[in-house]
Amino acid sequence: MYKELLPNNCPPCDASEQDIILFRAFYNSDSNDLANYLSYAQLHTENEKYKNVCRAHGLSFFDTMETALLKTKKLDVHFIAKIQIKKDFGKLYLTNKNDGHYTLWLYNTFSSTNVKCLEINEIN
Amino acid sequence: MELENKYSLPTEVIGKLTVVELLDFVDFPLLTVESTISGKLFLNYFERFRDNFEERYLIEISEARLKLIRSGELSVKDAFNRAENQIVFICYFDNTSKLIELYFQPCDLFSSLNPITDNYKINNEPNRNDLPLNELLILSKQRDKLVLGFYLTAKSLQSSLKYWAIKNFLTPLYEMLLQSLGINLKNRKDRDLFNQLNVGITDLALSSLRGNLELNNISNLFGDNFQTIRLSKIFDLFNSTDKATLIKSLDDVNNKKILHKYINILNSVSKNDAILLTSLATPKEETFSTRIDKAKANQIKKIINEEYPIVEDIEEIEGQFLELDMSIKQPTFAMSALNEDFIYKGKLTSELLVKIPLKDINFKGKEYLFTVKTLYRQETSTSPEKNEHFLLDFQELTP
Repeated sequence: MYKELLPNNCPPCDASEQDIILFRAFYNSDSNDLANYLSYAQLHTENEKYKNVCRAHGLSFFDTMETALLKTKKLDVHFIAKIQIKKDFGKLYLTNKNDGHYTLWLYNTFSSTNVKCLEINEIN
Repeated sequence: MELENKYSLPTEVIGKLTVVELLDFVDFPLLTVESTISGKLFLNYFERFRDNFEERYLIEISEARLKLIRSGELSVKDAFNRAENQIVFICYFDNTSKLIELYFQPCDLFSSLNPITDNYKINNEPNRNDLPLNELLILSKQRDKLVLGFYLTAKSLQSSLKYWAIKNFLTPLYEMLLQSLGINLKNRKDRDLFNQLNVGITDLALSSLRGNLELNNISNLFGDNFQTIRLSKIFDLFNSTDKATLIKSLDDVNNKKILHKYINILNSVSKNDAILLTSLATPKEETFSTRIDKAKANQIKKIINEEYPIVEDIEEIEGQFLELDMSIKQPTFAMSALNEDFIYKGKLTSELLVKIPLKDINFKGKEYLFTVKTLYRQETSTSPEKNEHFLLDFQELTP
């Protein structure tokens, strides 16, 4: 069902499918490039430490551009994209309500080519 | 951070670390709580990438200090400036999280260079709507015990713990566990095994209903552990959602009374729209997990109601006679169990009626071993659950 083999009880039971507009940090400007939708676990396949950590298999999104910028400034990312999340992408969970941080666990039917990007901004 | 060689340490000083909590994870572990095998906790902060290595700062931290960080009362910067043991470790990890270089700095020196942003606060009690399996694994290894974690959430449990959660969830779960291990506490001979396994509930938290059930890890000469094998069958049962696997799982647990307890748990999940998470961790790093919500509980209950409308259980119970009424068409009995606060009332079987005159029955405190058959009739849309007891036999207990 999910794109990755997830640990037990992952995603959390109250994660849900949602149609929602959120912001995500990208490595490049192509919003349909799969490289922008790889989880930490996929990017670090040889790292066993986070294999059983649920959120390491999910993707981070934010409800505002400002928080997305602030929270990803230490990472090697260059763009912030405004994305239309669809219910068939996967299960979404509000990880931290204080900073509007969401985590999305992708279904195996997810294709980056179907993502609709509403806006993209380069980070200076 | 530029560091002199005099602050260098062998990497073995920090042992293997396991992530127990993510305080800040944004596509990358920015701030985590990690534990050594001996249970020492570290706060691990990511500062930057340097020459393909992750520069991270670690401090040993107490649970009390962590609470302050989680609540936002203590900033991350201050936590490092005022580390409890006055030492900050500066670590360089490769991309497999292997520690490559390790340095230390006394807190007063580190605080003058500390690059962590002043206002970096967590201010978010991490969502605990899961059972942290890593924590259970560490606990299991530390205590060399099997640890079964449970977490029951429901709307009605948000403000306070309710009686139904104890009566219809915790008690049946505890009894299921004992029964799967072949322990009947109503029976004297099983108490030795119970004491040997030292089964008990620890770390009970009342925000919803969360806790651990722990038992000793006893292996035979070949290293096999009968408790793990039997408890894993309970998880097979919890994870069975179709008729064939459910029937097979019940055959495997080979104890019909478990089914009755399981039905109690399923009913409490269904009626209270609750979610039950359970995980088992063993010192050998074996793990088993399950999740049951209302929909799954109803699905399983439907199969059980169709397949097992009446569940029969025969058990031996130590107790004392309270009453025998032979004057009615179907004679009745009443007995109080020695090891539970319960009075069994029911009918005598015709086979026993033949033997009764031969028995020297004592109602003044003499103890007997009773063989009691119980029929559990499942709840239906028109009638509630009903239990019937039948006395099959009894023997005087030798002191």
